[in-house]
Amino acid sequence: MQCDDLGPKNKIIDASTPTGFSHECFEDDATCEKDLAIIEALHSGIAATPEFRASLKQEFMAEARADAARRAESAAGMNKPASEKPRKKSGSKVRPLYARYAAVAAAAIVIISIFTTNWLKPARPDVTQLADAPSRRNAASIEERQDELAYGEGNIRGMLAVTSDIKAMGFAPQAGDSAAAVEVSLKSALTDDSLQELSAIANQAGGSVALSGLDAVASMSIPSEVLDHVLSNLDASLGIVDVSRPVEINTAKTCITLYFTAD
Amino acid sequence: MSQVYTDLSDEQLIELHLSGDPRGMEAIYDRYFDRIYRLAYSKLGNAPDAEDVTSAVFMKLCRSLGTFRGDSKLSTWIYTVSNNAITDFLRKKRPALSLDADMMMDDGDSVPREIKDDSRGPEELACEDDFARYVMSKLEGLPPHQRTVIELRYFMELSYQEIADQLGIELGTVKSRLNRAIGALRSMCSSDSEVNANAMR
Repeated sequence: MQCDDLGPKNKIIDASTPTGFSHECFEDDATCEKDLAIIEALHSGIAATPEFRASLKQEFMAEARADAARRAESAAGMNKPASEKPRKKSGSKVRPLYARYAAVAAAAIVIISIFTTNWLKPARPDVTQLADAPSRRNAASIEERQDELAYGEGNIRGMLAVTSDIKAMGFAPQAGDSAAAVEVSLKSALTDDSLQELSAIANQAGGSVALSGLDAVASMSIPSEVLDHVLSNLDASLGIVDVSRPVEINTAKTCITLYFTAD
Repeated sequence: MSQVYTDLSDEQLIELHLSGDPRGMEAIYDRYFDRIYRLAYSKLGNAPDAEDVTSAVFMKLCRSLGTFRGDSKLSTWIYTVSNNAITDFLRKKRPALSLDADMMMDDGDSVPREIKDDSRGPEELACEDDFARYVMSKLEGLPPHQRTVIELRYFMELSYQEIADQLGIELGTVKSRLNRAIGALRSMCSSDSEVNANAMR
């Protein structure tokens, strides 16, 4: 114990405990002794049993060694050069960049081709249905249905439907065609009188009549603008059973094929 | 443990541990075992509980030292961890017992519960020449701010300056609080001695 007398009122005892703690005491020696005893008791009076200290140290060090090993392993992995890092397997799901671009391009091509095919265009008229028309008598109604159907590709405004008993039905598809085709079935048979009547009608209309070479068939060429007038004259003089004519005639002349009744 | 390791600072020992050398942790254990045990004993009052808390603190230390950022000194960090462990231990151990509740007897009658005082008196402790335990038992009578400086100084072995830094107070305040705390303990011990002396007459 060291005592520094700094004066009658400030006597400071700078004391040290056996374990090295210093203490500044402002009291008398006896009091300082008590203080040092208290300090020593606080600092080193309580101690754990050596058994507990040893067993806990063993447990603690085992944990610390395991942790140190984990750290060393982790540090080794972090410092490993890139060449030693595991490579990706050849069968990896990660494809190269060019493969991804190729896949995207292929998908784009497929999509474009789908949108440019006929699938997405307006539907054509059902030709098969027209071809299955039972007879020429249904031709007119078929024509009406044809008119209702949407015409699509190439802005074609007409349709040529061919059946087993309807030779030609329709009109010239383009404005440059020479003549529209009209078919007329007559009640009369092909006789000299009927031919005269036919010639008279044609001449009156400014047209001409010719025999086709087939049995009971003749053809008449007239200006299209007088077609209705000619048909009415034919009906009045020879009797018309059926007429097949285009919905719209856009040619200067019309060729009428006349079917006479067989004898 | 080699003298080389005991001379290293806490920061150097932590670096050793983090580099994979277990001797760093061993030195930390040797340095802090008594400090943690004393702190636990002073607040729990018996050796088994102090051992449980000491074990818990070191296991937590082993798991968490890798994440120790060094913002504070290791000693103050361990002090905080230890106090938290002690608080947790007391919370778990404290029985959910209402002191107002009467104790039910086998015959259905209830009698007022008597609280048994397990603490040994100063006379008993003194007779056992267990002055250290006696002083420890007196710590509860200190104001918290005086007890804290006692713990930091004599249990955790911090210097005056480290205590001042830890508590954010002046160096002179640390010294004066310590002196008052020691003086208070001295007074408590002296009064008990007088009581004992009067009882002996």
